[in-house]
Amino acid sequence: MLLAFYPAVSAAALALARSERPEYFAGAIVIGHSGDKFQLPDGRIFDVIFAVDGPAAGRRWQMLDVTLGGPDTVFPLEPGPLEPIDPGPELSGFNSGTFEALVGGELDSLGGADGVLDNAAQRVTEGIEAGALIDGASTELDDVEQVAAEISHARSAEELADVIGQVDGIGGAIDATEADYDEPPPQPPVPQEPDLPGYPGEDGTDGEPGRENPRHPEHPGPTHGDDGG
Amino acid sequence: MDLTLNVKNFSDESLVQQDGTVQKFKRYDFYLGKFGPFVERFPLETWTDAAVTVRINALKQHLLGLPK
Repeated sequence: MLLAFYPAVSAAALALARSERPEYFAGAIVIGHSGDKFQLPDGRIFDVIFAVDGPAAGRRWQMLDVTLGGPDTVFPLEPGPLEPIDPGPELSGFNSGTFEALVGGELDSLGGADGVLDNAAQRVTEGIEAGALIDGASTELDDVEQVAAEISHARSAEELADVIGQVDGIGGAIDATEADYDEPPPQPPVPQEPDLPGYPGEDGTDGEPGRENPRHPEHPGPTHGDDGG
Repeated sequence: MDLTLNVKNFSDESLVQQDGTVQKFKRYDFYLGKFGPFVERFPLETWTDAAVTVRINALKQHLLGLPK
């Protein structure tokens, strides 16, 4: 079909044939980065264009099965420098058996470790009891429990009544302090108002005769009778 | 080589093109001797006896060119 109806070999011609005559492809789809292969529904892949990347004159239609890299008989691969690793014997080297047996066997190999650990713990305990712990100031640390007992004993010796009696005197001092604050706050000093010109002063002198000082109405100015006029 | 035309099915077909238009075709399902089946579509606008003959002859030439 391709040879009959698409003499110009190209990936575009293959795609055109796939769209115009899908029945000839049996459900295959065009694949490949150059669009020169198609894959059947069963997974087989065929390369149908020879030298797709070359010049147009050198291209040919072909049908080459490349499902698994191509048949070995056509272009067999040369052996490479790498070879599959021979699994050989087991690499673990451990004794077969249950996990418990393995752990138990390893513990037995320690031998007497429990005694050593107990002896070390006893020595540490004795050192603590003998007061072997000394701080940098060369002062000896007292027994924490003894100190705590002394503090609690001292606190328990103080009766509650004595404590309350000490507080009673404080209450009176507080009340006395509160009484001082019952007085009204002192008023700031108010400056005296200056006498207006032409008006008698506060003592009734000066000013025009018969003229009342509006600020001090109780001190009227001198009358006409006073000057004998 | 026997390349006798044997039409198995002849039908009308309507296909939706990529641009969204619907194009009508005449579809032939046939054998050429023992080769086949072949399916050929002819647009309704260009469907003529000559066009059908040209395609069938092209297939015959191709089959005759196959290695024996």
